[in-house]
Amino acid sequence: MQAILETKNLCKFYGKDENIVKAVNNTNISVKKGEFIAIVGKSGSGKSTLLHLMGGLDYPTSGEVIIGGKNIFSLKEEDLAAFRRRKIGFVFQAFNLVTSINVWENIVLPIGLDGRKADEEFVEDIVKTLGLTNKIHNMPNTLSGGQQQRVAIARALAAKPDIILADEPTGNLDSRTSGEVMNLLKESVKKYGQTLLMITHDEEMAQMADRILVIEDGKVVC
Amino acid sequence: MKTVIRLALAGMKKNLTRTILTGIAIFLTTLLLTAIGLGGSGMLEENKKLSADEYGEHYGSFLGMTTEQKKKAEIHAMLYNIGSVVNIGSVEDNKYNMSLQFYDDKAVELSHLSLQSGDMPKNTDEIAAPKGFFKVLGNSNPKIGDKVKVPFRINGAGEIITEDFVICGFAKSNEINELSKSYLAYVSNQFMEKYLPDEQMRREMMLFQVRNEDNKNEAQMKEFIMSIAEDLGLEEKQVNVNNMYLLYSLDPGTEILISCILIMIVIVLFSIIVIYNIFHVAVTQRIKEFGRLKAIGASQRQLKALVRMEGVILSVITIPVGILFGMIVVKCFFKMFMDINLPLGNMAVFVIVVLISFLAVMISIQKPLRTAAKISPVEAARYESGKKSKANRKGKRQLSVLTLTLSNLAINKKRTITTILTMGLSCVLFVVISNIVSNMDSEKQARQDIEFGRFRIEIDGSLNDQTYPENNMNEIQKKQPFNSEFLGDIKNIQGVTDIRTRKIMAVKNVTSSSNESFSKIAVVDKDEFDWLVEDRKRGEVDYENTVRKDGCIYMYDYFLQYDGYKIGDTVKFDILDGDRKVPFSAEILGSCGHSNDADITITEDTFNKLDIQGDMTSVVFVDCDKKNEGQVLNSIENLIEGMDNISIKSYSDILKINNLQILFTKSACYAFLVILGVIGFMNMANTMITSIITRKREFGVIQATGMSNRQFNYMLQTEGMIFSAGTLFVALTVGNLLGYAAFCWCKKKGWFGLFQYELPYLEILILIVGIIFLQVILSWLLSRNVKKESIVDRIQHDG
Repeated sequence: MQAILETKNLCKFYGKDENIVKAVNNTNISVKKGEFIAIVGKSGSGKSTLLHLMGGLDYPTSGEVIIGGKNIFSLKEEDLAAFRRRKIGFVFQAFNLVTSINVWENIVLPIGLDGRKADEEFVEDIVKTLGLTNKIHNMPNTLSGGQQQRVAIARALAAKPDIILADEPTGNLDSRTSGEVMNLLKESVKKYGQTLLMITHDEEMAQMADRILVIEDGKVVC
Repeated sequence: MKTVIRLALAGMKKNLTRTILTGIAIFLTTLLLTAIGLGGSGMLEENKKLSADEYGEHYGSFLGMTTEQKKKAEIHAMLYNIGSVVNIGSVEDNKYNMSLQFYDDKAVELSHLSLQSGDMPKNTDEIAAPKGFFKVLGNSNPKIGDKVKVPFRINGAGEIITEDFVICGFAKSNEINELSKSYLAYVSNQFMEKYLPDEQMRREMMLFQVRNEDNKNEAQMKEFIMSIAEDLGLEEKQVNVNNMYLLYSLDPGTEILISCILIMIVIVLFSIIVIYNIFHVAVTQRIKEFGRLKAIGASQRQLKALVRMEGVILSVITIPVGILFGMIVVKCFFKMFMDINLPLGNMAVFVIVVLISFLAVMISIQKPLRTAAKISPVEAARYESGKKSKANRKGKRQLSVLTLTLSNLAINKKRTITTILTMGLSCVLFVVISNIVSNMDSEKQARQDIEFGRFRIEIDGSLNDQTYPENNMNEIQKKQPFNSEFLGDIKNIQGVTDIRTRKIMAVKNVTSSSNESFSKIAVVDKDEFDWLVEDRKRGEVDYENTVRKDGCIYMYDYFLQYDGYKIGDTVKFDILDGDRKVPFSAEILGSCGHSNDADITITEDTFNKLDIQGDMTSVVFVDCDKKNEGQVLNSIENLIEGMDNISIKSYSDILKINNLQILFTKSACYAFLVILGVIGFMNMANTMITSIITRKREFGVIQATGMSNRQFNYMLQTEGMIFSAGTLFVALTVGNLLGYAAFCWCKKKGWFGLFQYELPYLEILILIVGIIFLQVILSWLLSRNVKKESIVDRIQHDG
């Protein structure tokens, strides 16, 4: 199967000379369409940086991230932003919802930014799948952690992106809620035919993945 | 205490932008307060000084006292600083009216008599006078030490004595001396002793000041002086009260004082709102930090002290700087526009300014201080900055960048509205003041003096000069200075396009028999009448009606009641037609707000019914093209040269003076407004900065979700635009309404140059452009500042 996402000699260094920190060091990954990959590693191993680079949130020191046959860093800022809202869905550890708008508006945010009209039927379906139907008019701060993370997942799915990048999506949740959220995430990804890359600390979560990448000192070790 | 200071400093450093903003707000407040305090007190002092120079510092004088009365006065408990002026004799000259006087040291001091050069006379043969005095006596280039022969008569009677004097000093002279053809010369005590050894014979004037002046106003002081005179057995006519000086020195310039206090209150209220806003936001943003402090054992008192300390540190730094700059600004301003060297040593002003500024800061931080102290450590840890009270939002099914922007303003409704209101308020002031200032019409003001054409030639006569009756208007009119020959000459001047004349009659007021008073009646035709009643204040008047009733218009509306009249009253006069007296009475049909140089106006038709034989033409207006002005003026001046009691005014000169006056008022008002505007802008800057810093992470998330930089800029600019639009809306609606009301009030009060209302378009345009410009710059700077951090950094940003 064709790779949907590839990194080529991807490097991200901070600092200079002796103080240099190689957060991502010459990493080559290939992700196939529909795959669920778990990225594991110790704190500070560079997993988040790798994820940010793959999502075009940060610029690499060298190397390429190729999505759909194109190096995303060759895009202009404007196009990269458009690329993010169309092709990538992010789920962060801290739920990162926009506090001034309600749940529904948070979910359709990336579509709105793209200047498109949300496919309401599709969004309703996501909302239903994630069990948020009677919360759509709520403000984010009135929701529990699990609910907020479900909204974040719904937002990531709403624009029908090819790839979902999740950075410890259950890191702030208790174990029972974590399980629920994880199942929903996995189900949704499957349902909508998306590719999922997820950072996790949790061995159990990692085991749910098709493939596990272990990162150590900025390098993929297996 | 040390820990508190250290923590306060650290907090201020961490939020440097906000610290600077607050600092600037306090600095500007202090600057304004200082400038207004010093300017106001300086103006009061200046008025007092000017009036003292002009009228002398004595509160009054007693004339023609007997030796006994004098002795009694000298030991009177309430009188002090007693000086004496003795009129010794008159100098013989056909044309000039000159006298020799002796001033003792106290009198010199009280009357601010200062010589241009040389000294006051000490020896019998010494004399000091304006240079003009010696010129009259034949010395065209007098120098100190020159000998001069002065013919004089003691007490203006007896035989002429001629004495040789040595010039010992020159007194200041002014145009009035030459115009009124009168001079004073100062001689020594010895001279007086020589010619008037008998004190009883001396025509002495006693100048004095009165104790306990502070608790009396002008009217009370007059009364008090009269009661002292009564004590001394003096008659009313022997008492002369120095009204002009009393007016300025005893009345603390209530109007200036009240305006200054009002302006100061506005500034203080305004800055309290701004400083409060900045501190309030600062505290809510640091709730977590305060909670942590509390968790590790900081007491409520310590937290309060911490916030208060920030205010104190800021004040200690910015207030002195504000005072310094205030001094510089106000000094330059007065120097530039009024050429006044403003004294800056008014300690009272400094103390008051420091107190008020400091108090303003302390009041501003009261509420934030309590918020900080009340924080529960448990709640604080969970506190999300920007606590939202609303649980639900109807929201939109489809989201756009605009909806997103509006949602943020809506959720922080209180802050949005406060900011718009404070910004709006400062602009309301701007609009109100420009409504008045922009409507100051120097041309129309000049037209009050010169109603037609470019020059006004007029008879410059007195009404009731008994000493020099030849200066009285009716006497001058007998000579018919503006006869047809003169008018013909004027018309024939090259460049003159039109002339108009006006009749003015001197009249004796016989409405009430108790006091004898004189006034002037102007005669106008229909054109002039219609022009005059444009500014009608009271009564229903038109020309036909006035003719039918043979009524009159009262010209000084402001004084109508003061003079004891009302509309419908009948006034009675004796018109002074040369040596004849023509009785005349008329009903007051209305009143006008300005004077055409007469107290009463009647119509041409009514005048024609009167039995007036003389030529009453007293004013000639001359019109010409502007380019011929200089040449026409020369010709007119040549024509009237040698004619007594005729004066000329030029429209251009008056206009120039008016423009200068308006320029000063305008500059002062706008300078004040700009500073106030800057304080208001600080508030907007603070709101925008805070709203952006607190949302850094949110912006990161939104951008990660796919918002481009362009959309981000658009969002910030839109946010700013909404602030601007709200501000402008408040400013223009409230401002113009209040402005119009203020205009009407000021016009009614007879403020300078206010006639016709017009919306201040230019100022409004400047305001709109200025606000939008500042806001665009601010939004641009902020969005640049945010974008400096990468999206990843922003997402990881901690609250």
